[in-house]
Amino acid sequence: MVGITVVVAATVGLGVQAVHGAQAVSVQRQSTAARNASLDDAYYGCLDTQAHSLVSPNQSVTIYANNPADFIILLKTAGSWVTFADSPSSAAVQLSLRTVSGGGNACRSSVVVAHYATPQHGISERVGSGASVAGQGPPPAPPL
Amino acid sequence: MTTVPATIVAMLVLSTAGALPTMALVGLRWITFSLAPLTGAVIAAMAATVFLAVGGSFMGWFVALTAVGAALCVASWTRWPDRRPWADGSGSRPPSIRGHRMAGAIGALGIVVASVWCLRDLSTPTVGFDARTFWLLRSGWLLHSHHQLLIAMRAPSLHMGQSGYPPLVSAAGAVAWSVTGNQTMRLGVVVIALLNTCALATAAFALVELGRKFTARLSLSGHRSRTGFATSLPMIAGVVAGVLLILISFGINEPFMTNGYADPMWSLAALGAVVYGLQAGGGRSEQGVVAILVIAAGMTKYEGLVTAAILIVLVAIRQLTTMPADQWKRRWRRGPIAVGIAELAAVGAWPILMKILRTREPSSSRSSPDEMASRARAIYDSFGPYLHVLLLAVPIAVIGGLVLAKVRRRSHAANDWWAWAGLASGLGSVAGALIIGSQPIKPWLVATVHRVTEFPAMAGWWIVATWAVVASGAPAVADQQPTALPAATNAPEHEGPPGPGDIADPASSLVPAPTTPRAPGV
Repeated sequence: MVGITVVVAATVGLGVQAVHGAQAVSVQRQSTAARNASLDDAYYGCLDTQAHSLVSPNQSVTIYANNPADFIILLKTAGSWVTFADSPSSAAVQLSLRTVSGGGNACRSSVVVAHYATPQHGISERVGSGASVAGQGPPPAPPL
Repeated sequence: MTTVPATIVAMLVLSTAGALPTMALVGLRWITFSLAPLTGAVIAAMAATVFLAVGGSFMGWFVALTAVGAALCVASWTRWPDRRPWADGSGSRPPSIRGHRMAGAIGALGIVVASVWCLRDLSTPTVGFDARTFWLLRSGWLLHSHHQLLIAMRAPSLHMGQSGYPPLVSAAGAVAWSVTGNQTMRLGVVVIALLNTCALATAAFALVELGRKFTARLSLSGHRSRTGFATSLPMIAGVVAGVLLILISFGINEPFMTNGYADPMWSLAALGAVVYGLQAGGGRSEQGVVAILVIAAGMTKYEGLVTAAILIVLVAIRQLTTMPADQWKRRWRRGPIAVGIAELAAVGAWPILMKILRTREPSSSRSSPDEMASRARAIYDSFGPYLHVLLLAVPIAVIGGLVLAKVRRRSHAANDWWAWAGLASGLGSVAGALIIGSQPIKPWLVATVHRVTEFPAMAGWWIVATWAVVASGAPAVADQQPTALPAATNAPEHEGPPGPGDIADPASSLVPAPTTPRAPGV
């Protein structure tokens, strides 16, 4: 009798939690979550394209940002593929993020900006190009 | 290459790299399929460690270590033919009865179907915050030159305290990116989600095996073979519990299961280590599973490393306590202590390397005793809502321990105390680090409590599921007592709750012992 009771209690508990689990899975597939994820993907894809338009292979890079949020955004954008400089002063390119109004060529009102230690063709600052995403501000942050 | 074919290629490469070592350690079982890519990921993590330590290239080391592992396996099988996976005496196969193999196949199928159903979440292209900021960021670093990797790991201007975290997830992502040429976050996330699922499926299948082995023992005990409904109940319960555990684990781990975070990986691998190391029979195959999972957990995250270290010690203690007296002299050489030391060396290599290289690490300052008390209270308040499973697991364990101890011994599941010790190891390592540390705790808890309680929550549900399988055999055990356990031929089992002496869990007398008992090792 005790055995049956334990089986029933445990199975009911497992079953109820499994239903919760199935619901948690479904939540991830809801339109809001999917839309936010797509927006996040598009935003970082856009910034990535802009960063690629500014940095040549093997150019040493440093990231400059006025606030931690911008620093993290740039790190997430290009951190996996750029060649980081030993120190900021030795970097050939300094990448930063700039907020622009209008946003014709911006990624949700942000553009990647490169400052070159040695001006290229007389230009020491360039703005990234090649992609844009409409809208204002970074997409909603995914769950931490 | 687009994401789907790239994922297939990446998983095939990881599985191929891990196939021979997995077969050598585990044998040919259903879980060999889910463990092979995890072993490949472990090899990738070791390649990352060696690459960072001595230079060369990451993929060069991955190929070299894969070749060395394969060569050692072949050499081992040549030198000791009885160790070949296809040879008899692996100690992992339960006796064959009607429906037994079918239960294994149905259980495996059910776990695969449930996993695929849950993996539908991958249709939402989420890339987690930490995955993009850190875990997959380092995948790219591993594909740079050694000089660049050292700069990235050390540069103070990057402000990344976590870059010194163990490398398994990043290394698996780097292998995927390298072999496919598809260096997207999306591919990394999908590969990590599949590796997480492999670890979960391995742990869940232990319930199927527990149930079908219990049924096999019930069927073969006594004077005649019994295959009635009552004896089949554990087999059915094992399949049901295994499938439910998949859904439960996805519920606990989502969205981190499918967005590239490392927490599910260490939590699920550690759960598997608890299951096979502290609950299943202590055979060679089980120890092989433990070796793979415990190293995977330890090479994924520092929380996993501390938990893995404690689990390694617990598994070694359990092995020593169950060791036959005539084998006690082998406790060092190729015995539990030697295996434990080797596993500790594997998981300890990365943090030692981080110390030597002086990469960024979290602050090691300590809080005062007064602060520790308030921090402990904050942790208790934060963890509580995520560990409600204990409200069910504790009473079931107490009742089961008091009333169903005899049934549990017949099932050959180890004493429940071992599972609780495993749960406490993960909970204690995380809570202990938070209590002792001096970082502001409340913001951290708000952001991460969901993730750091994954392991104890899943271990709690595993304890509940195990009792469901064990208790389902109670009617059959009660039915068999008068005829199946005559005093003259069966050792008397003492009544009452299990004590410390009951933790001994010798290999089943129904399972053929290996011809030459030995510890796992290739």
